[in-house]
Amino acid sequence: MPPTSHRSRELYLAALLCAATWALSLGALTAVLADHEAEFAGRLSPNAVLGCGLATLGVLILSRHPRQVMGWLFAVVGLSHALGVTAAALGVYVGSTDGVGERTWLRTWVSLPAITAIPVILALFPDGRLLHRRWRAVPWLAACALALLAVAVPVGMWPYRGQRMVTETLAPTASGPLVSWLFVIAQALLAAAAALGLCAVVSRARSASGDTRQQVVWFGLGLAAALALIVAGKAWELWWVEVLAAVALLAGLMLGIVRHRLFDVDLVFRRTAAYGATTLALIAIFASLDVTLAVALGGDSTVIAAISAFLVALLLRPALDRAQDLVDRLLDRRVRTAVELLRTLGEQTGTRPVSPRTLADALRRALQDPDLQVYFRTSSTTEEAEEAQWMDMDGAVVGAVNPLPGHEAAPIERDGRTIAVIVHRPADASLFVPVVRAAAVAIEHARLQVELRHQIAEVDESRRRIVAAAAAERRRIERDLHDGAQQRLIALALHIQSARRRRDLPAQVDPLLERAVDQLNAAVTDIRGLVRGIHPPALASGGLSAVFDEQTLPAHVTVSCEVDERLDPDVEATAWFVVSEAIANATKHAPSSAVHARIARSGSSLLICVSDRGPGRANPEGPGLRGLADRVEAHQGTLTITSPPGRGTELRAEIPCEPW
Amino acid sequence: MRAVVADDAVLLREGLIRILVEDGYEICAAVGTGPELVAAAQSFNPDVIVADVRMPPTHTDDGIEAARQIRRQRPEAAIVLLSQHIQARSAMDLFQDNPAGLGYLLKDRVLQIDHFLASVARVAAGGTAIDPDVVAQLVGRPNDRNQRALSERESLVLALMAEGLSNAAIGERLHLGIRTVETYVGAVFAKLGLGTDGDEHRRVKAVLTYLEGRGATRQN
Repeated sequence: MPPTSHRSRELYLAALLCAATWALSLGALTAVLADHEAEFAGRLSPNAVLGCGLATLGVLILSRHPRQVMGWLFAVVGLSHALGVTAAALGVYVGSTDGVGERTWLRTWVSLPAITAIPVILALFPDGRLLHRRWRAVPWLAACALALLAVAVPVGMWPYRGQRMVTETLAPTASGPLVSWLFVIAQALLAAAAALGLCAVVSRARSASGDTRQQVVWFGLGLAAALALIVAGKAWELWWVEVLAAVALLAGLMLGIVRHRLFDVDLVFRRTAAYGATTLALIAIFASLDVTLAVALGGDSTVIAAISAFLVALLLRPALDRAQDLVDRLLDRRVRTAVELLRTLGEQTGTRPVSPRTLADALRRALQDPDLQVYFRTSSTTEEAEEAQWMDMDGAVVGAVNPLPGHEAAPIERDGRTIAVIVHRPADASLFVPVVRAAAVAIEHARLQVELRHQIAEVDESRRRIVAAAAAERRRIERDLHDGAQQRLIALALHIQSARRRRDLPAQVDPLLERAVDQLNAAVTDIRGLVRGIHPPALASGGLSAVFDEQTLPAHVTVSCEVDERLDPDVEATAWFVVSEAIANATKHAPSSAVHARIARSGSSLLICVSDRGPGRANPEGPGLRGLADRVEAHQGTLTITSPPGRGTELRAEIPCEPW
Repeated sequence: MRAVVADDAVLLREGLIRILVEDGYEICAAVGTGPELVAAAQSFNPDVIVADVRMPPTHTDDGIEAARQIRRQRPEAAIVLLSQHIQARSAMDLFQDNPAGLGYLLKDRVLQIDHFLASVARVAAGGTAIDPDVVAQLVGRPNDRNQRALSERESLVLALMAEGLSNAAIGERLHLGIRTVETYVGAVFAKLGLGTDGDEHRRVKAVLTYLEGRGATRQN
């Protein structure tokens, strides 16, 4: 973005030119009309219309692109036309007859920029750059022509200043051979430049594609229509046909702007059109109000004017909104409906969560492309990373976005970074860009959702890995104790028992050895209890049904295990742990109550229920129950505790699992 | 008597071998995995096999699986299974078909050398030996009110029957005369509604089946 002060300065200059153009044109026409020369005013009007139109267009272009040469060209051409109209009006009909000649003479060369600029505009249309170096001939030819004419015209026209300019047909040859030659050369150069300019337009139409092509085509059509109408108008001497020619040319440009984003000024154009229409409407309303009130009340005209002005001022805002709506609707229904779709979505984003799928559906409907895909970029990658990490709408990571042949990948940027890519069939930019602009909020929201989903999935995965690692570690400890320490102790006891049976043993040794064996037995029992506490061996070999089968439970505890098949070992370990802990808790806090535990399959889940009729008031946030909940949740399960005071405690766990 | 010993824990295996040798057994082979045990049983045809339940390759119930394979080829093969923990269910599966010549003891039981040797001898002779702890667990969960109606003595007799003891052995254990034992046995069978079959193996099977709760033959 160029610095604002610089931009404003250029824009002010352009706006000044435009205002001058309008003022001069309208002023001149009004003056001529005041002199009752309607026909002359009519003959001036094509130039006035073209001048005002082009000047306005120039300012609009420069407001969006301060350096665009087309904008300056249009503004200058517009002013030139307006100056010509003014000069003509001044020269012939307005003011004293002194200096009429000079003024008419002024008119001829004031219009020169307008004429010589035409080939340059043709060559530079629409982006302000030549199509190829070889087309540099066009501006050069035009410049030479301008230089020659700048000399030839004033010199040649001098003898004709005054009424003769109006009445006689102009024949420059009378001024002398040099001037005639200059004229001829200049006209030849200009003709050549114009011809080349037309060729440039055709060439551009053939080589461009998509929107650019359409812009050039519409411009070409407008140009052709204008030329045809000018010829017709000159042939039948009808000034209003020439006005139509100006209108045709302006219409060609307008269609390019509105439908194909020519000069990227469609929004500004629409706002200006709405504003213009409103102004005209309000003027009309003011005038009619004034008249009506004057007739009805018949009073002081200033009072009436004041009342009318006040009423019109009230109407300004609603009239402007209505006009904007009307202009938008007339000029671009297709884009409007598409943009509306995405804008509604954007508004919904604030109040309801809008899933990435909803966004994709809206985009598909708006752009009428059922194969449209949206990919979002994760924020973990830096801009320098070669391989960006892309996620699709469900949060799954895809390596790189490779559009299929026939599809385009359009990056969506925010603050200079690419946050998403839309893969779509080639679409009209005049439709695509506004739709994407309207969808900006929804896209960002969807991207955040997708990223969140992805991160939650990663966290879940890592939690599961941690729990599985802990369970594997426990199994390892169990196996080491069981296969290692326990076996050694039993073997040792066996050796001692065997030794005791020897006949040559002294009698006092036997009780010592007996005590040794007892101690070893106790050690084995201790280890067995410990191992069973860590991870019962029966669980690994026989599953849940085996481990509860063999456990000797206290009399008040009953366990009914209805699971016969094997499950994922991590799930089995968690289930056993939950039941054991729950039973231990119940035994501790409700020592006199019967405890009942039930394990069963239900659909694709494992259900665990441990209940007692104790005092209740179990605290789900206590460290023991919190730990159980964590383990269950690591398997995407749920743990609920119902423990009303005095009514017992019930622990329910549900863990999704498949048979293993 | 010729024996084969199978256990992957070397220390324990050596201990078992020593006890058996001291009691007069001849050890044909000492192996450490299930498949090796099956092979050794095939080649040596021992009078009794003493095997650990948990061995390579799966470290779950390889011993039981090997026993099943051996018994399929030679139904009269005598096998004593040693288990670190009770694991009643998978063991009972084996006993359902034919309890004759099968034993299931806890490894701790090995430390009571006399009891262990007696069980091995019983199994080698074609009888049954079930670890009292296993039986205690079976008996300790009364399946129905009939069993709960048994007196303490009768429960004891039931347990010893389940262990595989003969009437004489029961009498010895409880210091009762053989007639008294027979009376108790008859009462137990009557109360539980089991057929009074003299055959010891079928008796064990009937009792075990009853205790397992999978249905019992009822006397009409």
